[in-house]
Parts: sequence; C-alpha cells; structure tokens
Amino acid sequence: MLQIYKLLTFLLAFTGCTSLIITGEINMLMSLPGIGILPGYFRFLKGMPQAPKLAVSGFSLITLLVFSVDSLIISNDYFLAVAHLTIAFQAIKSFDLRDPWDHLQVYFMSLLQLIVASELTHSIVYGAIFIFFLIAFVTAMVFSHFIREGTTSNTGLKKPVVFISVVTLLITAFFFVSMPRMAGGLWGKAHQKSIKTVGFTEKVDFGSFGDIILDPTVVMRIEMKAYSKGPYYWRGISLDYFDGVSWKDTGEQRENIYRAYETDNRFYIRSFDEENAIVQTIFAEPIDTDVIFGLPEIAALDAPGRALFADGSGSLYLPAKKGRRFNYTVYSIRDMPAFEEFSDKYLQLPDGVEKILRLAQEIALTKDTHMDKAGAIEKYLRENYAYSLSRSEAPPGVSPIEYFLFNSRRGYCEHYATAMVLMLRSVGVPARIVTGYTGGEFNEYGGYITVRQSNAHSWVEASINDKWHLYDPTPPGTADVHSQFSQFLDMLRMNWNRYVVAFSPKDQKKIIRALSMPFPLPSIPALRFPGNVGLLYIVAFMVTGLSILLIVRSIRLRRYNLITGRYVSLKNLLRKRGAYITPSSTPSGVMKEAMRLGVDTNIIEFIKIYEEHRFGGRELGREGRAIYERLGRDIKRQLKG
Amino acid sequence: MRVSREGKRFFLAALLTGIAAFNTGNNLIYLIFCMMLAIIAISIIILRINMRGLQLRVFQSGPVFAKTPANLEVSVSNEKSRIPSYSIKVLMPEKISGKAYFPKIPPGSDVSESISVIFRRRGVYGYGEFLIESSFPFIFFLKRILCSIRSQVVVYPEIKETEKIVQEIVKDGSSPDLLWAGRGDEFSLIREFRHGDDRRRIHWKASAKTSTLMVTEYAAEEARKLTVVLDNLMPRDHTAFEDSISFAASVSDRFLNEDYYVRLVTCRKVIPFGSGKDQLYKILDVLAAISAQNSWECPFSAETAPEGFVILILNSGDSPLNRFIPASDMVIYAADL
Repeated sequence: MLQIYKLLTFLLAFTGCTSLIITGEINMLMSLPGIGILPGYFRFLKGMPQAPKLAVSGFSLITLLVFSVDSLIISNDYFLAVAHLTIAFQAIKSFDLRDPWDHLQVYFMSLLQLIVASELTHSIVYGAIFIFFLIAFVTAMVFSHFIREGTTSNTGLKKPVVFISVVTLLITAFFFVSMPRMAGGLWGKAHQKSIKTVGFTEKVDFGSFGDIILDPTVVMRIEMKAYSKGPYYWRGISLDYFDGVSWKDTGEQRENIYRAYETDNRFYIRSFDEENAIVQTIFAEPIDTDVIFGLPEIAALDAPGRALFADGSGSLYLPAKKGRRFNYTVYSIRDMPAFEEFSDKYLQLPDGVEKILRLAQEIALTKDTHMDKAGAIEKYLRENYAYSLSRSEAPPGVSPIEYFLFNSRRGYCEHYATAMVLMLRSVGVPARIVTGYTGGEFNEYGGYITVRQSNAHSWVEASINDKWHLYDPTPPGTADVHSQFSQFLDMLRMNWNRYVVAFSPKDQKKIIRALSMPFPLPSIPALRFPGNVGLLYIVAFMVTGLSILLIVRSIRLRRYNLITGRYVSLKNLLRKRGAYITPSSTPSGVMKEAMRLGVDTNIIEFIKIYEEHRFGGRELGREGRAIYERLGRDIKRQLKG
Repeated sequence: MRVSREGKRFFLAALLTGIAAFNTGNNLIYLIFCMMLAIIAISIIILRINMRGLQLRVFQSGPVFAKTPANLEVSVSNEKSRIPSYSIKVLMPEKISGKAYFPKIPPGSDVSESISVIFRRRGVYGYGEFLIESSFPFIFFLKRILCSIRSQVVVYPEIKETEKIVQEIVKDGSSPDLLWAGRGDEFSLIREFRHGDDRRRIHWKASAKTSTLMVTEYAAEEARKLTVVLDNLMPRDHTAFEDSISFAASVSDRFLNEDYYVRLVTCRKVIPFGSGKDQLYKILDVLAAISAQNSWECPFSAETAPEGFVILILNSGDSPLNRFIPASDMVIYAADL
C-alpha cells in the first residue's frame, strides 16, 4: 500500500479529532483514548502488524459501554457523548486498518466528527480544518480508487488531484451560495454556547459591569455606510428604579411591533427620513440577550425573526436574536427619543441618599436651567473623580454610591452613571441609567468597528425640555489597542462569520441582484411560512427528493426509444413484483416470468412486437405504437392489480 | 452509470447531513453537505469526461489454438485532444475472460496490453461484447461502455504431440518412408509459388516468363504425399470426435512441416494436396469449423486410386467409412486417441 495513502488516512483521522478538540466543549478525560491514534498510526505507517481482532472487538465493546455511561451521567449530553465515542473509535481503528474499506470507515468517521464539531463551534479555525479536510479527503478518495484497482504505480496523480481538489472547492462554494436555506428546528437542541454578558436584563446588580469590563471577547462588529461623528453609544436598555443595590426596569408591558409586509418587510419603530439615517449593519456574536443595540434613536430595524418588542423607553427586544449569531441592520436618526408622558419614576431616589442630595444641590446651586444643572453635575463627576476598574467595597451600612462619591472617589461607568442619575433626580431633573456599549475599535482591514465586552458601558439619559439628553459622566479610561496582526485576524474572523457562518437568504438575494446587473430584477419576495413550518420543510424535502428520483429515472429511460423504454420499464416493474429478472434476462425469459406472475397472453404480443422492432428492424407506425402502448398499459394494470 | 456500494453509503451520509443542515439551519453543516454534493457532482462529471472519446481495438497477434495460451492485443485510444483518461479497465466477454487495465491514457494517444487467453474449444468465435469500465476519480460511481467487436477469431484445434504415434506407425512397419525427409533430385514440374515454399527453389527464368513466382518440384516429392481422411459422419462420442479433429490437425501440421504434400478429406469438404504454411492454415480453417455431417458427399471414395500415404481416422469401429480401410495405409480409431 502506498505510504502516502496511509499518511492521508492518518491525517484525516487526526483532522476529525482536532475539529472536535478545537471546539473546547469536549471533556478532556473522555477524549483521552484519542491519544491512542498516535501509536496506532505509528505502527501502521511503519508496517507493523495490526492488533488482533479479539482485542479490537473487546475495546470496541468497552467503548460502547463507556458511551452509554457518558451520555447518561458524565456528559449527560448525547451529542457530546457521540463526539467522545468517535474519538475513541478513531483510536481503536488506528490499530485495525487491514483493507481499503477500513480506510473508508476512517474517512466517514472523520466526516461525522466534522459535522459534530460544526454544531459546537463556529470558529474560523474550523474553516481552516474544513478546507484541509476537503483536500485530504479528495486526495485520499482518488488514491483509494487506485488502491482498489490494485495499482500502486506512479500514474502522475499530482495534477489531477490538485485539479479535482480545486474544482471540488469551487463547486462546494457554488452549492453553498445557491443552496436554499431553511432552519426547520424539528428536533435536537443548539449546542453552541452563547457569550455571557451583564447589564441587559430587567434587574442589574450594581457593580456587575466590573466582571466583564476587562473581557476582550468580541460581542459585535458594526459596518456603517456613512460614518457619523463619534463617540458612539450603542444603546441597549434603560433602567429607572434604583434600590441602593441594583437597578430595575419598571417599564410598562412590551409592545409588539409588526413588520411592514406590504412594503420592505422592515420593523418600523417611528417614521424617519432614510436618506439622513445612520445605517448600521451589526454582526452580533451569540450573546445571551435579545436586546437590539444601535445608535440612538433607532427608527427602523431590518432583521430576521417574527416578533420585535419595544418597551416605550427606546429599548428594542428581538427574541430570535438571543444566544445566536445574528445579523441585523439598524436605521438610527440623529436625535434622542422624546420624553414620554411625565412619570415620577424618573425622580425616584433610594433611602439614605441625603448626603448625595446635598452635594447635588451644592453643585447645581448657581444653575438655573435643567440643562445647566445636568452639565454642571457631569462636569463635576468627570473632573473630580478617577477612573478605576478596581472594585473598592463600601463598608457595611454605607451606600456604595455614597462611598464612591465621598470616600474612594474612584470607580467605573456604573459608579459615575448611577451617581449622576441620583444627583440629577436630587435636583429635580428626571433621569435614567442606560446600558449598552460605547466606542469600539475601527478595523482598518475590514472597515468596521469591533465592539468587545470591555466596551460595555452605562451612561445617563436626562429628560430636559421634553426630550431625552445623553450624558456620560465617566472620565475616559485607558483604551485597549490591538496590534495590526490582531486586527487582520479579526477581519478574517469577521469575513468567515459574515460570509459563511451567518450567510443568509438575504445574501443570496444580493448575489442574484449583483449577477443580474445591468438588468435589475424586480424585488424578490421573501418566502414566509407561517404556521407549522417544520412540516412544510419535510414535505418540501420529500417532494424535492421524489422529483430528483423521477428526473433520474426519466433520464435513464430517455436513452431508449419508446419501444425499448416501455420494455425496460416493464422489466423493472416485474422485478419489483418479485420476478426473477437479471440484466441478462432475455425477452422470452421476461415473458415467462410475467406469465408466472399471472399476466395473460398480452405479454406474448408485447414481447413479439418488441423483438421484431429491436432485432428485426421493424418500424412501428402510429397505430403499431398505440397497440404496443395499450398492451404495456394492460400488462402493468394486471401486475399492479 | 451505476452507484457502487461505497457510493450508496456516501449518498446515505449526504442525505443525513442534508437533513441535519435543514433541521438546524447551521451554515457549517450546510457547508459539509455542499462539499458532499460537490464530491458527488465532480464524480459524475469527471467520470463522464474520462470515458469520452475512447476507442477500443482488439486483435490477435498470431494463430489461436484451443487449450493453448494465445495473445490478444487490447488497445484503447484516447481521442480527446487535451484531457487524459485515467484508470480504464477493459473487461473481456465471458467466453474469453480476463481483463486489461490502463492506469493512464494520455490525450491523443493509445495504449495497448497483451492478454493471454485460452480458448477451451476450437471454433469460430465472435469477439462479442467488451466492456470499457472506470470509476475514476473516486469509487462512488461506475461507468461502463459496451463495445461490440464484430470481427471473429478462428480457434484452431489443439495441436498435440504426434511423435509417439508416428513412432508407433514406424514400429509397425506401416511406412518406413514416412519420416524420410529427403527432397529427391529428379525434376518433376514447375508450378506457382505457394506460401511456405522454400525460396531457394524459385525458378527465376520461368518466373520472368510468366510474371509470377514459379518454383521447381522434384519427383521424390510426389511420393511424399499424405492424405488425412477424417470421419465426421454422425460421430457418437463427442469427446472422441474432438480428439480425432485435433489429431488430424496435429498430423497435418507435423507432415507439412516436413515438406509433405498433405490433403484433407472430410464429409463435404476436401482440401486438395498442397504444402507449406498456406496449406496448413487451409486445413486448420476447415478443422476449426468442422461439424458432424449426416451423409458422405465427397469425391474421395474407396475406388479412388490412393495417392501417397493415407491415414484414415474413424470415429468408431462400425463407421460407414470402414469401406476406406483397404485403401488406407493407416487406420486410427478416435477412441484410441
């Protein structure tokens, strides 16, 4: 056997296992048997004898027993247990590679590992592994062809293998782009873990931002068609009630916003001038919140998903987004939301803040308007306090805000924003705290802004002159700067996520539009299947499969003329009805079998016409064909009846 | 085009992957599904291109004798101008058996392979239906092209060792001259050149006059004439009949190699005296296709004055051809062969 063929088998097994390891979801203890691959393939490559069948069977049995324990107890997840099982089987198989079929088993198992891994990770490393797998798989299959033919001579396979690999890659890309996308979600559960984040729930504990503010994990990437002037505040939600320890949203019930089906399928929150809107295309990583982020104020949203909710305070919620990699486009206007009906909830103060009240009144003493008061408080906080990520705990019985304002004098966004809201409310200015992200890093390679967990931020909205105004009392901290290489890698990740992981029917439409240039197509309607979507998918799948079968059958019969086609069709039917028909069956043999199955003398006439036409050169006229077809129909009816 | 066992399994794997992709909506599973579809598509496309423009030629490189290995040349040409064909297999018809395999056929060229085949029986065979087969580039599909070769191959009877029986003939004193290989020197006649004649015996003067190659024949050769009478009149034992045919062929070959003039007499078919390789193949052609007959319709009869040595091969003791025994120098019974 060719050494390169052996090496390819090893590489494919290794690739399959690696694809699972890189997900980070695999239990290392359960994957330990995978180390067996190395000695197994070392022995195989060195031509050493394979393990005895009994040992292989014994280990396989043990592995199956461990699998059942794993799926029920250790991992308690059937999917992960399958991943562990395939790793163990790859190791066992490496000691039992005897004939070409064993190699194919390794390839198929690696393929299964790749499929399992695709549910556990969406990393770009997976993409690299996939490309490597494709090339190795194609090469190995070409070699396995020659091995099966019993030739190992050097046939000059380098060129064809390279050619086939490249073409396969291109056709894969073509199919990937043109394949209709569905997500039936009939069974199983998603295994991709979402990014944990804080600050976007109805109740946010004071100080919780400190846990994520050092986390460089990317939460979203944002493309903007025309850049508005920064700084950027990617608004999330607002919270209005502070009890001294945590913030709460006491807003009214969320209102359902419907899509504009009759026009452009968007969710419209308010009317706006699209030409002046700031369009942000946001590629959100799978974060565990359904909050829609965007520059305030969001006027419209272009996103998949059925339901969008608004809580009346400018916050939007899209349940379909939660925990998923999600792309959406936000249309923002250069304005802040209008102040809704007056509510004293924005003037609420917790108990024991008299000291803060006095400080606020002292700062705003000389100011007449709400605008001036807010400005003075913001300035005071920015200039007299230091930004620090270290959390200094307040002594028992002392309010953390009071401790921040009068003792530690250092803190991060939550301290500043909370302090300002309380101070504003103390001087009669309605205010609320807002959570979201601020800033982000512009990626020169990709032309987008990368927003990380560390960009999580809270700021203040104050209602002045019936309009909400944004205030950020937090002094600037030290910004993380990422290297050029890191930015380049992030651009690759962005493209991988953008064009592969999150490729959508919307992208397909864009491609069709681009290809149709310079002949613009009319707008392509979106297909919507309300109701039981899953059932529809199954029916569609079955209809497609059936159509393909019928087309293949029709193509197979098309090479025959009518007379031979009908004869072949009858042969197939007889075989299905249990007749002994082989490819070498003669017409008289077919006739005998048909009569055995109870077909009357019509078959004699049918076969006679067929033989005269096929072997005697007799051409049938219209009448003759009609008779032949009638006979065929009668025979089929007898067989089916 | 057929789907192989591995192909069926790959199809099943692709189907399950497709279901998983449609169920989850996970683009990475879609990607794997698309890769599998691409592999299926590329298998079909390349296989079709690989098999396009192939031409099969089959020919024998020498006379073919039953039960004796013979070489059959199988040549496949690739008429595509740029694309080579890989892994082409030629499967022989069932009665020939064997296969030829060509790992690569460069564009615009042909490759050939010599295949050793053994025909178990004499006769005239149509080459029948050859199959050109390939499953390149992978092993998921198999494509076959049926090639009907219309020409025929003549399989001559098996040539057996005759030395032993000739020695027995000699021992019996039937014909001490039978093994004499001299040519004699008494001029007898000038005749046309026949295939197998010694070129040193060409009579150049007569050839120039007649514009045809003429050779001299000597008187002694007249005495070196052998008639093989083969009894194919209603034989009862088929195996013995085949043995008798094989013996007739072997004796003819043996004595024609000794420059004898040999004549073959059978029911309905007579090959007149002649010598050389040409005569041998005339006799072998008849023997290759000879079959049992119901009546004796032949100019050779018991009353005909025998010319040279006569070997009568009878298929049984009670054969109607027993009447030729008196006119024969040697009688061989098929059952004894």
